[in-house]
Amino acid sequence: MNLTNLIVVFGFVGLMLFFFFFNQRRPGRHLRDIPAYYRVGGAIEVAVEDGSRIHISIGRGDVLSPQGAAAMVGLSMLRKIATVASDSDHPPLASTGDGMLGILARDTIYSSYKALNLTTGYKPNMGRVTGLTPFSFASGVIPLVFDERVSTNLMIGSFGSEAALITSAGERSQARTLAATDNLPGQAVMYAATQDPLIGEELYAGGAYLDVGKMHEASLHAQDIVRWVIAGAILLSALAGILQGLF
Amino acid sequence: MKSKNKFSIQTPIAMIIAIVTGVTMLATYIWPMPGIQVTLLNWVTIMAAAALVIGVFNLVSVHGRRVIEGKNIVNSAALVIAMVAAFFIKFLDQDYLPAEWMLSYLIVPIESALMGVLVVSLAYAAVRLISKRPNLYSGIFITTVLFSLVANTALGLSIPIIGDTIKPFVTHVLASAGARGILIGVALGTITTGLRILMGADRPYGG
Amino acid sequence: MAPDSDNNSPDWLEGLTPEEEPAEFNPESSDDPSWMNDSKGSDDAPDSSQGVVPDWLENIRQQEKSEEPEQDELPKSGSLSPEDKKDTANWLENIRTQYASDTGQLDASAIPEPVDPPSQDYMERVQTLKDQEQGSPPPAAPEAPSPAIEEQPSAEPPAEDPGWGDSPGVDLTSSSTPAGIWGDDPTEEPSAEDSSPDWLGGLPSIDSGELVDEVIQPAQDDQAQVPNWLQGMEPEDSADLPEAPGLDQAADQSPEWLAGFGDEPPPVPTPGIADIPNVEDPGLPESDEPAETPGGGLPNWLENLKFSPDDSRRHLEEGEAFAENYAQEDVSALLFEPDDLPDWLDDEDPDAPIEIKQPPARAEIAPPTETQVEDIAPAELPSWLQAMRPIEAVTEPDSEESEAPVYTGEKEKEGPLAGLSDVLPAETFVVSFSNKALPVTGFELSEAQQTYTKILKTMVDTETTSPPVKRRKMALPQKMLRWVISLLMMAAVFFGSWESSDTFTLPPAGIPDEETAVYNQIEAISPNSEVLVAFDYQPGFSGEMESAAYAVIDHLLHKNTSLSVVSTQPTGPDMATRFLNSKMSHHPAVSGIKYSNLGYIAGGAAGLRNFAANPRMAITPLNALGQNLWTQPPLNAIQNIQSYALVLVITDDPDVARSWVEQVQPYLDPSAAGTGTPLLMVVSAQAEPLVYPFYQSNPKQVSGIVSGVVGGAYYEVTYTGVTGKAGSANNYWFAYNIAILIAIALIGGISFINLFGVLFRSNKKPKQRGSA
Repeated sequence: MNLTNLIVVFGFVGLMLFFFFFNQRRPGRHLRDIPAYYRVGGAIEVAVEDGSRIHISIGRGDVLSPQGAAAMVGLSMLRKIATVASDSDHPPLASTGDGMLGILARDTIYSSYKALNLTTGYKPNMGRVTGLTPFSFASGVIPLVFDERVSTNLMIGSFGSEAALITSAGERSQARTLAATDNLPGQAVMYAATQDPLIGEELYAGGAYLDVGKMHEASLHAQDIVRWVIAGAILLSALAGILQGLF
Repeated sequence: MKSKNKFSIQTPIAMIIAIVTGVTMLATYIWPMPGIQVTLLNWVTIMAAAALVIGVFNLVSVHGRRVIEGKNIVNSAALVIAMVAAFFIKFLDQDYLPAEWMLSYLIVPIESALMGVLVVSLAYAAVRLISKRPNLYSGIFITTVLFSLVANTALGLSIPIIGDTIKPFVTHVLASAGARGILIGVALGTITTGLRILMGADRPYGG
Repeated sequence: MAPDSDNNSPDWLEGLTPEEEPAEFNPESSDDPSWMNDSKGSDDAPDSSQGVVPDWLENIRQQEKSEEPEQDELPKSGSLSPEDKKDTANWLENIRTQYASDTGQLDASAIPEPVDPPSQDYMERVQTLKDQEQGSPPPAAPEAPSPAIEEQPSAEPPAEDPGWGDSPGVDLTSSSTPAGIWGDDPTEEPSAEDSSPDWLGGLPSIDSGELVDEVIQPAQDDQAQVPNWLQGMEPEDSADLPEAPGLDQAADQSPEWLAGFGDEPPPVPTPGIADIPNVEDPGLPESDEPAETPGGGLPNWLENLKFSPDDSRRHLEEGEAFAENYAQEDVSALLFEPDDLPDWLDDEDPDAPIEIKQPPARAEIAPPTETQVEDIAPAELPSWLQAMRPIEAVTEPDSEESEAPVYTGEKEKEGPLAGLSDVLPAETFVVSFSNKALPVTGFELSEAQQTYTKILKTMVDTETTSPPVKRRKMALPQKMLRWVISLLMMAAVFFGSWESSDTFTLPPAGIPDEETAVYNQIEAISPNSEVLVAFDYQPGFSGEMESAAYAVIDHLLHKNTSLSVVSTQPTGPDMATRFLNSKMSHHPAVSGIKYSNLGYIAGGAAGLRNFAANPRMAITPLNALGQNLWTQPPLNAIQNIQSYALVLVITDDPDVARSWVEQVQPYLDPSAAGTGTPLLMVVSAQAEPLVYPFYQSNPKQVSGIVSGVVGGAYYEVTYTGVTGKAGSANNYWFAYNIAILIAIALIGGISFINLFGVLFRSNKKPKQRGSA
């Protein structure tokens, strides 16, 4: 039996459940400020009001890989945004670079429409697979940004350096772009190429900031606790190593 | 028509399947069960391949519909025709020569050109960074970019301190340490995301 | 409702939450008729949409509401002070009194004081219907219990028709009911021909005798003489509804006006109370809440207006009794019309006594002309519109204005509110009447109603069709900057490729340890060993990756190893074949003899783990003859992944590299002692910082790394020392250096210019402030 895996799993589950119930008892939201998410909220509102379109790109993260977690965050935000903006003149579009993600994106959009009783307004091409390799995916997204009256680009998922092509298209069409990826070269690219870059695990905080669910906030608090534990353990082990070397 | 009953029996069934499968797979990592794990992985691989095919069909259907609707006909028609042609070339030709020709003279040059566009985009983004976000972090970012570029040229490598001391320090210590820190955060996020799915709090399968 | 897509807490946690939340899924009662289900369904949607509005969106909306000018805020009932309510009641009652006196129905002696306001009655009726829909019993009338609507004689005229504003709670025998205003004379004998539906009977009669007859006549004729707007209100499925049993018997038992207050709801698709949108101001384009009308773009009350008139007409042609149809839809009409009222018109205080201020004498008011009476269709005039009729519509121009109610503000000059003062201003583009509204009597008000409907439709249409979004173009200097960068970079690369020079040479002492480790590992394997090579890079990165991998693959083939090629990228196997056939064709091993293309591993990291656990089961490669390669030499010697002497991964993606380390390396070195099959990597320069820690770990998870073009050039230097050949990395070395130097000059130079620009502007602003 792999005891380490067991402890990690149950420790996380316990922390998430603790914060889930703990947050029920205290009013308000207890998160640090990530201005990009607030700006995204405003951008979504503006897009809905002025009749333009929101484009959510979920990236090319394989659902069966660790990169799938970033894609799941993108799907959560897609569900939230689709629920808010499905009844607008130009409902949101989703693009993916993976076949399985394409299925999930369409399913997510459809379930949002179904929850709103707007299934007649749903079209399958609202969730598109634009390419199956990174560059073909990015080059497939570019005309989508230009042709579909997109005013807000949300890139939430797993993107590599090809993200610069998409952000460049967004900049040329004067669309606001928020980008977050779990891929480190992708993060470096996005830092320079977007107005609202999200670094590191800020990607996974999207659900909590956009009120996707209470469990998102609870899991974010659990992450923070474990992060401090890990940081403390690294510091202690480093100190121990130094002391061991000295004496 | 409006859906009279928004509750779908598919939702709890999908949720049960997702949770049971996920927990079983997780259990195989905690209590090693090679037989079950390999069987599940085989299923996953087959479904992933099927999803790839579905993705291709989605691509064709989207562009086929655009052709029918008269939207951006040229590009979409070119994509559909090229896809069908590549499909037949790949499966009918066992000598591989046409497929290799297609790869060498179409796919690689096109993607390499996109890579060139990417270089220009990144250079443009870098030069605009200071004017867009004039702050300390932007300055550090640009300085690091310039240093990394210099350090990867023959000129930079020839300078004693830069080539053999500073460059390895930046690449192997600073960059690696920063990357590790970010990856730890990413890993924590990945774990919580997976656990949310296992607990049924996140349902990316339409629930 | 689907299981909590909003809250996203797992279902099993729902019961554990401290605060009770509404159940997410309420299976609709099988007792409910289908039309109620529809109604409920439409109720749910706004709730769900409302419920998912995030806090930030709510905050923005609240902030916007607080910032809206006051004239946009329409008073609501709850916000009215008692004085305001009283004033509202007063002026409304003044209008009604004026109307009654205008139409000659006012008998000064018959004016009760006080009178229960009709809105109170209407609200009670609506409440009763709401209770019926929700399954709770309606409040029983104290003196006259309401029979079921099925038992009501729809064809019978109301014996005591107090008008649609009355309720069961009103004392029906009271003589204080202003029959002349809100209904027929209670002493009047019901006509046998008076088969008007309840709600028509409830409409205030402009001329009690003649106009009611005009209304009833079409019903008796049973012809399609029904006004279109009435046909439009015909429910689609009314023909399918069962006939109300016992109508005749019930006619003797209860008056018709009680029809709407039966214990059971009428079998027509009546919108629920919650379905009726709270149209605070139908004149303002603030109906920007399509999400609250989830069934479509039109609100329910507007949907009622466009109720399939064709179906209604078809039913009439099929011989259905006109009166029956209306008897079945009376509730719909009741719910429809009053709720179309803006709240500020409907917010009379039900408890406030109506004070009638000196109604003008009947003799002082000129009766409508004959032509006016003939033109009107009185039944089409809802009472709320009658109450709003302008004074000028029924008074002579020379009538004494001193008799009219005193207005303090500016009067409306056009539209249905013409003549009224102190009307809240509507937005001009919404209330843009093409024709100036004439003073109208009842029938012409029907046209106004239609005009009103058209306006509202226009308003809704404008909400659903947004103006095209103008694509903003990029500024010219930015475009030029892009072109300058592109041209300079291309010129550098072309020049570097064209011109070969030894200007840039690698320092001989600079070979990194991780590359030396790769060289040593390859040197250490025995000839004719099996080596697994993963071509996990994209075609776009082929320039960098093939330059970096060239010398390493060449080294492996030089060692006479047998390569097994695999990839987790869809294009990987073809990229491998292309690379080997084009770059390594000089090796005899490549000419179809000693390398095996295992193909594509689907499933990402999961597929990779599956392959690592059991390569033979994960992939079944076939040769041109259809034979399984695992059964053919040299792969028949491979039983598991440890059978390979070495595993080499060529990738541009750090995530792919990480997957190989995390999923495959444990199978290569099960003891984790560093004694298993070595894992080597050729990675892009962008992946080096991420892969390097795996090389630094102890024991090494990655035994050696070649990184980017620089690493490939170094490896070629090392390897050239053995074979005496230069590789592709060194061929591109000059162009590579030139391009990088140009990039450094561009980025550094323009960034410094921008930096000085920013500093200059920031210094200039304080000076300007200081001088100001």
